[in-house]
Amino acid sequence: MALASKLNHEGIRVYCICGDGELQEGQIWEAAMTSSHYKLDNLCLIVDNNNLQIDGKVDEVMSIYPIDEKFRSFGFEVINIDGHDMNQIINALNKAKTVKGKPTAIIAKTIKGKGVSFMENVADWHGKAPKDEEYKLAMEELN
Amino acid sequence: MNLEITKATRQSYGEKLAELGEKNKDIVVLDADLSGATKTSIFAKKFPERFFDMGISEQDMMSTAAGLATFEKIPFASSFAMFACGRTYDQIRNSIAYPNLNVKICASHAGVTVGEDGATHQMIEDLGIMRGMPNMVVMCTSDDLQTKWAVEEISKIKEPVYLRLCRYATPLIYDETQKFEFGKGIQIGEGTDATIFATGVTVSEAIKAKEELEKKGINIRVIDIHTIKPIDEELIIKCAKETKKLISIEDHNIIGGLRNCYF
Ligand SMILES: [Mg+2]
Repeated sequence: MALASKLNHEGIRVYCICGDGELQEGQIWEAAMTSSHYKLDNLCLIVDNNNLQIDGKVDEVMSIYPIDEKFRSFGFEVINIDGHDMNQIINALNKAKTVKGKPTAIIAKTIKGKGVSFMENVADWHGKAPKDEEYKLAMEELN
Repeated sequence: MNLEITKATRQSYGEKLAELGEKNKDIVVLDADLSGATKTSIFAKKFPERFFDMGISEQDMMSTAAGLATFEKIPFASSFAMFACGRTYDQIRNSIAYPNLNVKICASHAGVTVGEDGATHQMIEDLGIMRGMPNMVVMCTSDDLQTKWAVEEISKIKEPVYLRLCRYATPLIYDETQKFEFGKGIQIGEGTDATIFATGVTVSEAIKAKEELEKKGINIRVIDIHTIKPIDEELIIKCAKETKKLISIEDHNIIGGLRNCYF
């Protein structure tokens, strides 16, 4: 999409959000290579780095660290932020717009299930929906 | 039939693609480090700004082609059949076939006729894989004129297409008087002793067999199936009624191949 937008001179920016566990997929790095080779400065990747995947902690299942150095060496501008700090998020997105000649990767350090006491940092919540009672409790905590 | 003059369908593909690129500026071409062999290099030379070498990353090539299609481009993605659909099943299924995106996967070097490249490159499961993909049109062409017709035809269809091409040079079967119709097989001969269904490189071999058998008083017909999906059901049923035997000759595993379309 970012490549097509460049071809069309449309000035469209493409934002791509990916998890940290999925950085283990080979295709992510094929795409990373392509993005910097074709100088896709209209592409902004946001990595949700909560260090959890279905089987457990990312660094225990199959470490993908250091994420920032990997993307830097693949030709990205890299910005590390606290993914729960709105000011940092906005500043990073604004900075990404000014980067020329290469794509940007924002590595957002996050806590899975943040704000809900029984969900925080629990890998089990990766792929299941809360029951009615759990949903009520979670919403109360968030409000 | 004079089957002396030969040309590889990948060559015909490359020539026609470069010609179409002139008329249709939406056509973009992707290759995975095999443009010299798949013949997309002819397009690349003429239109470097619309040609993307993706390196040896077929998975990303398919996903990038899908992305380009969402922006109304007409991407033609080429590699050897083994890599174009062997390495990329997931990307084609989820990013091209299910969302019904207008991507043309044109794969050369299909079948055992790749020869000395060996078993790792001899793709004989591709038709089975691609026929099973939802929305995917599947074609396999037998000669120069038919391939050029097919390349133009698929550039007009707004659906994902898999076009199977061959490495080695095969005879020119058809002349300018031949009409090709999407989804319609071509009947060669009226024999009723048997029907040979063939596709791609096996069509000229089937015609040779037909001529040999005629000398022995056995009269068969050959059906050239260039459109494998959707298959020409009408013609298959007609041949089943009119001839005593149905035979398929394929450069492919019998499972998932041409015979599986009717039996
Ligand atoms: Mg995660």
